[in-house]
Parts: sequence; structure tokens; C-alpha cells
Amino acid sequence: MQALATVPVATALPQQPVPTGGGRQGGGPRPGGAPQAPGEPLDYAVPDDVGEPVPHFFQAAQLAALTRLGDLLVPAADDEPGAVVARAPEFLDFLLSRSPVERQTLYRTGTDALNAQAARQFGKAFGETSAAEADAIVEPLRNAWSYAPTDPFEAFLRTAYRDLRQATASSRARAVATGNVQTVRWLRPL
Amino acid sequence: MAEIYDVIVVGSGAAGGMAAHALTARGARVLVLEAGAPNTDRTFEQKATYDLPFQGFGDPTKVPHVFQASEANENQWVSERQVPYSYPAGVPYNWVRVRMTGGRTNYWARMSFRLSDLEFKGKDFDGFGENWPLDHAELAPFYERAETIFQVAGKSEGLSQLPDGKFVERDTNYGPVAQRLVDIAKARGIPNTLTRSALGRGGQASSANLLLPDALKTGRLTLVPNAVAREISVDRQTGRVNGVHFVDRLSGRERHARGRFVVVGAGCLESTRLLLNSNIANSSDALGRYLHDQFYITNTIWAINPDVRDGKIARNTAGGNGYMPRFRNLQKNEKHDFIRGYALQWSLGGSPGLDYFPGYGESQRAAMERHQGAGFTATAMGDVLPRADNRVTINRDVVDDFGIPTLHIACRYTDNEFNMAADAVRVLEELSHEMGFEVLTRRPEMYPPGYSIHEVGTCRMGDDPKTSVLNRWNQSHDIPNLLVVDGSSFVSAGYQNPTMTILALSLRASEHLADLVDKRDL
Repeated sequence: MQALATVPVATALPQQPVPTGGGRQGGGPRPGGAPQAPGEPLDYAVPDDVGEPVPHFFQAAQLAALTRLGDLLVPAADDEPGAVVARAPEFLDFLLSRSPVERQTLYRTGTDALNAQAARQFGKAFGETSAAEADAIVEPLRNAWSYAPTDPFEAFLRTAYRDLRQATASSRARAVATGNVQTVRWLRPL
Repeated sequence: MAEIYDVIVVGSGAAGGMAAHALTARGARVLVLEAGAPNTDRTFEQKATYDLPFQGFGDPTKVPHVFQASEANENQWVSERQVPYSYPAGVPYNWVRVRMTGGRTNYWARMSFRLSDLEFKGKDFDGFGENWPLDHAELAPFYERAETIFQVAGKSEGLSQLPDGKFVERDTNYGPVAQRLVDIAKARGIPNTLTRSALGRGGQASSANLLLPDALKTGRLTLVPNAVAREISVDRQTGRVNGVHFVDRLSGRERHARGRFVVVGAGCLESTRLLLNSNIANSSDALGRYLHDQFYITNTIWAINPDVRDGKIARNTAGGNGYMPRFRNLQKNEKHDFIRGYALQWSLGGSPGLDYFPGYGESQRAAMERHQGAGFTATAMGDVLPRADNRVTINRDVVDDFGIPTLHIACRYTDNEFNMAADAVRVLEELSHEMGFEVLTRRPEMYPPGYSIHEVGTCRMGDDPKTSVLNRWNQSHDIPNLLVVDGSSFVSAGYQNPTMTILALSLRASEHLADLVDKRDL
């Protein structure tokens, strides 16, 4: 360790080969010369198709509660996938992992409150509730709309409902199932 | 050796663009330093929302305070990661910034109003704050020229609280429901007019198409995009400014440009930041203070016209929109729990979204559909008082991506604004009831300060060098060859959108500067 630390950094770096133009040098990168001509376009798959989302933000019980909430509030209809098939809860897990702490707290305490209420009223986790039981727990959604609900549980329900709707409507699963692709005019970085 | 310019202008939006326009017309050789890209670099592609990294929700760390941004356009605003700013815990400020040739005139809502003497001489009227060192009559010729360039459409009304301009004259065309609302409001002393809006040319009303091209045609403008001003340099012997240090946005290299005059028009808070970072022009201690804007509340009310919902009248007769200019405290003896006033921009015939209806699922969706086209809503835009302790300071511990110290913004609304917002809700409720509408929601909560993108006041004008940064010609009291020509020079904001006033002030200040140069007065 001592010996390594005293080696000057510069000498530890391999000497860079001097680019010599178009000549290919072993299996390394092509430092200079003309780019290769583009080949035949290849048939690519996308990450969503080949791997399950891996949640990082929610604890398992919280994600199960949000998933049940998604199924209740944004159910599948006819050919339209609902929040669960659209993987909206898993998307929100990703979004929340990057979000400000106030938003994270709203969701963590909100999903915990869903489970706590289900345990108190029905002796089970919110994820295990029937439609009628879950409906009773989301009662605050029937209050008259307010921009700044004083009850944090109502604030959570309203935010989660809006986010679950949007995440479902904009999902790849929804686009594939309905043939209706939501698009935007995306401006490139300046 | 690079040229010594007659004038270096920092910024190319409404303020900087107008300065370049006016100064080159008068023969000055002008260098404009613009922090952003050429506005022609704006290119887009059509993308599926699910292909965006955040599926349309937007990157929560990029522009979290720009409520106007979406994931589709979030690249067009200044990234809060690249150029951060701070505020006291729990007191957010929404600093909404664009760096692009033409500045925020590439995106503005084009609302084009004049201030009245109720604003210019507000202290005479209610005793609060300071008067401007000029009045409407003095600024009127410059307003008129700005309105001509920007092709402002509007209706002349002869209202004392909202002076008429040189308009592309329009007439009102209210439908029957809208006319009834206008009549009911009039009976309560609330006037109505059309919104006044810049038509511009070719579908664009920006500094980049209305101001900069003419300046370039003179052959006397050098326009440099991607040049981020870091500090204004001062000649130690004379105490006058002599140039600007700037950082090349793309390479990170620093350069120094030389000029005989420096005109700062980088937007209220960027201009203030530049002066504070340069450690100049602050013998008054007013620099950075008196930050204010207009508070905004969108959807201050949602009400329902039951005649539309119940199919008693056709939806296409129930629409309309208009603008109620300030109607409070026009007389000195009015008794309200606030001074000054607000405007209401209203619309009939809209459709409240799903969230406004209770419950979820089919019944909620059906309720929303039943109310299509039956809505009445309004945005309240209120006068915010300039206060010395609403201020910005430099946070030397945090620098941006260009190594420039960042801004700390401490700004909060007070009871005058909260009481005004409550009054706006009350008035809209009363109008709704008299119209026979059913009130669905009311909203007295304003957005955080800054949201309106009308921030002004941190570099204010005045006749007294002890209480103001600039004189009546937008010149620094301390350094006569330094001017600041944007919204930071405002003494009070009024309830009106500020762009026309910024354009008029910049034009007036720039021509006065040209006069001084002609007379060799400087």
C-alpha cells in the first residue's frame, strides 16, 4: 500500500499510442480516420421489454399499497391497460427516487397511512383489501376539491391519483394496447 | 487587440435588445453579450411520451421551480443544476430563466400594458414606498414607439388606471353570457377590456425578430451568443467601468471585452447578480433590495354555468374572455384591508378538469363530461409591495458551472398581498352568484414569488442617490457610464405585465445616453 501510494500518478498511466490515421490498431478504438459507413439498420428491443422494473424507493409494503391504489383508481377498461399493467406504480417509484424530499415524504407517509388504516379497519394490509374496503379508505377523495388540503392523507390521495393517471396514460403499455401513442414536440438541448 | 466598443450591452431580451436597437440607430458601435445560444438553435423532434426519461413528468432536479416547464421543453430553461440559486428553508422562490438570443421574449405571453400614474406616483396616492422619478406623460412617447414596433393590439378605453396605447385597434365581441358578466361587473364599478397583446411580425414578437435584425442591419452591432457575463471591470483611476469579463459557455474560457459604456439588461435578477458580483454601484445599499413582482393565482375560481350543463343554452354562445384592470383603491377614500389592487383575466366556456369533481372512476368522469364548456374561471394578478427586506444577496459558497457565485433570494409575500388575494376570491364569488353560476372551487393561495416571471425592483431608479441605485435615466448614481435598463430599475410593479415598460425605459435611457455622447457630456 505504502509503495503504491508513492508511485507518481503520471507513470502509472499507460502511454497513449500516437494516432496514425486510418490504420486499425489491434482491437482498440479508432482514434482517427474516416468513420465507418452505416450498416443495415438492426432490429433493437427496448429495456422495458426485456427486464422487470426494480424498485428502489418504496419498501415492499408501500409499493404493494400503491399498486392496490392504482388498481382501484385507474383500473383496466376494455382493451386499455390500467395502472398495474402499465407499471405506473413502478414508474412512480423511479420518479420519486429522484424527487425532492417533500414529495418523497408525502408518498412514504401516504402509503404507510393506507396500510395503517386497512390494518385498523379490516385487519389486513391495504394491498389485500377488497374493492369495497379500499373504497371506504379513499373516502377523502369525495371531499370538495381544494388546492391545499389541510389533511395530509387527502393531499397524498389526490397527488397519487393524478400521478397514477398520468403515468398510465403516458405508458408504453397503454400505447401498444390502444395503438394511440401520446407524443410531444421535444426541444433539444441548446 | 480587440476593438474597444462604444457600448457593451449585457443581455439580448426586451431590455438589451431595445438598447442595441436604439444605440446602433444613433451611430454607436455596440457589442451584445448574450449568455444563451442563437435562438435559431431551437430544434425539436416528435417523441413518444413514453420514450422520455421521465415519461413526460420531467426531471425533478432540472427546473423544479419552473412550473411553466414540461419535459418536452425543459431544455429551454436555465437548469437549476447548472446555475443554482438558494432561498431560506421553507420560503421558496421560483426563479424562471431563459438563456437564449432574445431572452424571455422568445416565450412571453405578449401581454402589453402601460403603467399609470397610480403606479408612477403611488407614494403620493397612498404613502407607501417611493414615487418613480418620472411619470406616464414622460414615458408615453417611448411606450408609443415600443407599441408600434411590437404591434400591440387592444381597445382604447380611456381608463385612468390603464392608459391606452398606440394600438392595432380591436373591438370587443362578447357573446350574450359574456356581455351579461361585463354588465354586472360594470354595475359594481369593475371595468372590462380586451387583453392587450403584441402581434409582432410573422407570428413572432421577440427581440430576436423585432429588435436585433434592424440593429444588425446598421452594421454597427456585434452580437455574441454563448457569452456569460461574469463581472464588470472598473478603471481604478477613473472609477468608471471599462469592460466586461465573460465566460464562453461552450468552452469555459474567459475573455475580457472593452467598452466606453456598459448597459446591463440581463433580466432583473441576473443584472443584479452581475453588479453584486462586480462589487459596484451600491453606495445606497439598495442594490438587491425591494425585490417584488405580481402575485399570480390561476383558477382563482372555477364556477359552473348551469344553463350550459343542463343544455338550456348552446355551448357556442356561452364563451368569451376579457380583462378586468385594477378597480380597487382608485379613490383615496376607499376602505379595504390592503392598498393598491389587482387585475382579473377571465374566461367563460372552459372545461374544469377531472380533479375538480369528487370521487373517482366512472361517476367522476361522467361529471366532468357533463360540465364540458360550462366553466367560468379567472387568473388574479396582484400588485406586490416593494419591501427593503425582500432581497437578493450573493452566496459565495456556491458557484455555478461557470465559476460565478450564485444568488440567495429571500422574498415573501405579506398581509397586503394575502388580503388582496382574498378580495379577488370574494369578488369572483359575488360575480358568479349574481350570474347564477355554481361555485365549484375557490383558491386564495398564490404561487411562490417569482412565478409570474415579472420580478422587478432590485436596482431601482430614484432622484436620491442615498435610496436608489439608478438616476432617472437608468444611469448608476455612482458610475455615470454604467446603465441598467431592465425590470430591476422599476420602483413599483403595479398589477400590469412589465414588458412594455421595460422596452420604453430601455429606449428612453439608450437615447438619452446617445444624446450625452453627442454632446460629449460624459
